Amino acid sequence: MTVLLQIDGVSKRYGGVQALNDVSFRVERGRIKGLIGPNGAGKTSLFNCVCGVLRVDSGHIRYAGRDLHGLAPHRRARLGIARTFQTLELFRELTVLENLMVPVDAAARRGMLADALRLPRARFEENRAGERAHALLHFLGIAEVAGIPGGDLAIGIQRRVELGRALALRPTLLLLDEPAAGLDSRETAELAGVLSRIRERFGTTMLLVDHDMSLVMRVCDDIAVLDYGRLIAEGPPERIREDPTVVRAYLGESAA
Amino acid sequence: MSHAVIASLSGFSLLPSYTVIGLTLGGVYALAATGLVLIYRVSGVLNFAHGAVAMFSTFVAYQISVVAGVPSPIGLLAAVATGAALGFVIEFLTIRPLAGRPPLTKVAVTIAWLLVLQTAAGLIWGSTGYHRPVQLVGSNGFTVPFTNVVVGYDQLTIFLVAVGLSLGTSALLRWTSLGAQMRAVADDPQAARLWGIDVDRVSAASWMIGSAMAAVAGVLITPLLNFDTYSLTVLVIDAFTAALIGRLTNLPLTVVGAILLGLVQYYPKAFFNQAGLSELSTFVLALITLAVVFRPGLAASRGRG
Repeated sequence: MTVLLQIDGVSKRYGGVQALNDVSFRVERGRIKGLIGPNGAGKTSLFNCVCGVLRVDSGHIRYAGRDLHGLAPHRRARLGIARTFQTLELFRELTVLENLMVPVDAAARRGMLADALRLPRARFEENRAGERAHALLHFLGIAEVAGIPGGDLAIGIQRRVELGRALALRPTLLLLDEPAAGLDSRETAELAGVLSRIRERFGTTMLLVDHDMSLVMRVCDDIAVLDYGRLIAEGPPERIREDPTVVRAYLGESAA
Repeated sequence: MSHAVIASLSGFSLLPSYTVIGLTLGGVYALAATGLVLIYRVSGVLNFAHGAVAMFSTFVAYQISVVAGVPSPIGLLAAVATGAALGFVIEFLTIRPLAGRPPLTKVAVTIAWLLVLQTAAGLIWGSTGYHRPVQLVGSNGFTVPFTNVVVGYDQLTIFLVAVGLSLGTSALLRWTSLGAQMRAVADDPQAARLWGIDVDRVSAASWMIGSAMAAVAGVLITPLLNFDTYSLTVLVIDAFTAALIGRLTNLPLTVVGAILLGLVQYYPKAFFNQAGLSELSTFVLALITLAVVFRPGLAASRGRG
């Protein structure tokens, strides 16, 4: 197993809060890694550091052997890092198909003139991207909404479109920030199935943050646990479930 | 009073030809307004220098075609290049570094550019007296069948070019890759950045295309007004009024609003010979639009959702 993502002694502080404190773990290629922890444990901060929205104070994030330090988010996206968001971030005025294709278009990095005039090469690219986008919508079981503006969809469908948009980039690493938030138990079970199928079909490596233990325990190969910005445990689901430190962190939260 | 009544009675016979002039003017406003809306939607900045960019670019065309005698299409191309270059410089040097600052700061910067361009043009080409316009097409014309209304070929060309470019921009936004990226940036710049869109590049593109449109509008409009550094700079007011009618977002509605504005500015002139009348009409139309189309609070925010 080769390491795809390596988090190495990462710390991040804002204001008086130490969001991440010397966190280190690795994600192996083709695996689904869970990242759990009570609210405010630093999960989203870590995501933002990996995709480049936040700059780490110290430590290194290596992706496919390369230090990501100083790379802008759009450059990281082009390296194959895609993410979904805790809050819905579909482009509301763009159709579902356009939502899937715009990031692909942006990643293709054609000249502005080719984009503006839709020169034949650009059009060809767009058709291929369009075909792929259609195929993805089919794969996700939402082919019928292709022409509807993102803002007009039900939450459950929007989540799937978001997943499709991330997949349209054919990511090597997919960061999933609470994909089950707002879903009922049936939808969550469906989501678990979709995530497993994605890995089977595309071999995508995933880092999954969620509060829903049923989802995390079901789909993840192994799990890292954060508490107050610190990594307190790491290992396969069955061991994490029994880990006294983890149990205490969660009980401590519910007792508070 | 009786004088005004007599004037108003004779005014009706002027309406058909004033319609032609109003439509022509409205077409040019549509072009300028479309550029203004494009820049506003993508970069979130209301560009008060829009008219000044049009003015400066048009003086470049004037220098090349009227002063130096080079054929006017080449002058027009030079104006387009100047407009695009100015749009790029304004965005790159003074808007991009202000990312994350309040919109008002950026608006203030565009007002500074207005003054800079106005002053520069005054120093180069003189701030007093009118200049000879750049004529793209001869002013021959034809009579509309079954009427006595004469339409100049220049007027027809101006109208078709202006409206064609405005609608072309709608098509660009709707159908091209760049257009989809522009709409994504207009929708949510932060999310667009995270989705791999080079927001700076898309924003610069909107400033360049929008400013090039202002330049074309400026060159087209010179035969229709007294061509000096001032009259073109205030083109931004007409463009803004038209853009308001389109709620600063809707391009087809902006084109309709611009044509309406052209007519509203000209019709009263058929009845009253009074300086400042078209400015008054513009002002009244803008106020009515604000009252009817906009609800309080909407004008300050960016058009979303």
